[in-house]
Amino acid sequence: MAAAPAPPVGRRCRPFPPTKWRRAGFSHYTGRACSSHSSVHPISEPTQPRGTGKPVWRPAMELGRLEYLQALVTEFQVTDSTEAKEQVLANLANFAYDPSNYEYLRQLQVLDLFLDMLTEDNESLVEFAMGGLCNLCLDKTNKEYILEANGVEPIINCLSSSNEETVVSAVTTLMFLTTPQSRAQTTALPVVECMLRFSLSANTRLSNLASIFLQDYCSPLQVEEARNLSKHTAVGIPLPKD
Amino acid sequence: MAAGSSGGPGAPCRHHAQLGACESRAKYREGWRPRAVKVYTINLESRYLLIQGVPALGVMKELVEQFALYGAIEEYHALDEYPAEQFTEVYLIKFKKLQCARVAKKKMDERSFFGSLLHVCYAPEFETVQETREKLQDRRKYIAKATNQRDCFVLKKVEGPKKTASKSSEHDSPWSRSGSHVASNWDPSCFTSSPGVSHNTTYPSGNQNQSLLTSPHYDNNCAESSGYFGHNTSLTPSVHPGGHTPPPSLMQQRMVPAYNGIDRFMPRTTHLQERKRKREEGNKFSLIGTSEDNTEVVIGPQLPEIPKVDMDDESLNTSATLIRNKLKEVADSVSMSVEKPESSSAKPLVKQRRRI
Repeated sequence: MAAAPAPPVGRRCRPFPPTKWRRAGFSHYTGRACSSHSSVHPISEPTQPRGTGKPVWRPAMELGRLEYLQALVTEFQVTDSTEAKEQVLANLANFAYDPSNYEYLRQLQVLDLFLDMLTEDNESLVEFAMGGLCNLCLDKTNKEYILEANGVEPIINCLSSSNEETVVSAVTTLMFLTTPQSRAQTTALPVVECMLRFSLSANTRLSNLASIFLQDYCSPLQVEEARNLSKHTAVGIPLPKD
Repeated sequence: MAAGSSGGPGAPCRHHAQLGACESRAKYREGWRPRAVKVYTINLESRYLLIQGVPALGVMKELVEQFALYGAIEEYHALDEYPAEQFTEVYLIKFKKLQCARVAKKKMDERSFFGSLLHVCYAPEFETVQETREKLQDRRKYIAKATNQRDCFVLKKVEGPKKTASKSSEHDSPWSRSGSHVASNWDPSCFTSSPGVSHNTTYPSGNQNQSLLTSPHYDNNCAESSGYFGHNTSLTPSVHPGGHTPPPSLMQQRMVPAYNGIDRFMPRTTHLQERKRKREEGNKFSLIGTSEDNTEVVIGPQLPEIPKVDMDDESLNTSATLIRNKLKEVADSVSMSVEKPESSSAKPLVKQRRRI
């Protein structure tokens, strides 16, 4: 990767070490960030920087972005507090919405973090991780990474979650992850069947997404097959008394 | 089956609920405003905004005007069946663009309005299937552009040109970041081996580093995007290891829908440079003295007039003409006043004596 350019003249100069600009092996940052949280340089404006209302000193935020994300990941790994884990995960998932962060997130292996969290018991962690994946899976590189890491399976499992957001994110993520190579997996028969059921749901968000999945990402044959399958299952039919 | 909200749109949903702000954030990651712990995905965001806590004082007009500051509003109405606190009303506002809705929500949430705090949230359950579909497509295009991956995505039901144009104007931030690199650093490495492509030059770049990252994936782009619809699966074998040779016809087909909005983003510097060039050419000709009709005998160079450059824009041309006329007037009046110093000098003296 080309070296990043020198900081533009006229912006606020903060006393960052010159290595920051060269993005050398970030073990340098790991070393710094691993020391207790309170000593992490309080980077101004750590709000989730999405949306257009960016404050004036965002340039400083750009400088510290990798460091800040690293600090988040480190806190997640180190902390015992469930609350803190949830907060940090939500923060990372929101960062995953903005494509300018994707490289950092890949470097920090946040994608793996999200995938790992899908199998947690804590519903919030699953919800946030699924949301994070949904946000970043459209990017080519991320998509391939997730597919190669066998991410489709845990995502399909999320379809049976009782958490609405998790399910909705999972449906969208499967859509976004569908490629000619992966569609055998992402539009497998059980998935299509599940989508059929969702498309009849009273929950408009879910039914809309499921309809789009069926119409745009499945072939009519697949839908037909799934329909026939569900017709033959005895769900809802009471067993004969004798 | 996931527990969804009961009832269709118009019923309270879980995602409408305002979560409490998080109190226990570590200092280094505290924001400026207290915020709840919540993740926003494209599914949650919507052009529809639900506004609760509007005081029941008949202020719908003012409310809509306030929100209209953030973008064009397509529809709005009160939601009478939505449970509301006493003396408050609930409104639904539909923006034309998602980006406007996002900004409006960010700015107007928790804002005081006629003495009451508004609670603004997204209401994606009001979307139709087609609207949701378009929302997802727009997100796809945005990511493709922002990461400079020419994801030649052609959907069966795509509404390419219209949506791209609106999407281009919505997401200015990736462009503004890379704007300075646009006409200069464009790296054609992605397209060197595709001879049939004529519209390379319309791509703004900004892909300084990322083109290197993404070009190996380029052959995957074409294959996977067109693969959904059962055709062009033969594309994959035809891509050779050299990497970048999608059949020109396919590229034509998929590139055009995605990039119709590009000409709107010719950077200002290019326009200025073009005009400058035209002006200089104009000057050049005026000095040389070319004139269409050769009836005049041109002796020596013509005095360069103020060059009349056509600026490709009616309003600009009108302004330019007005300015030119004014300049002529002033120039004339200056030459006139030089001839008559006496008459003009008397007047100012008289005028100074005016009393109110």
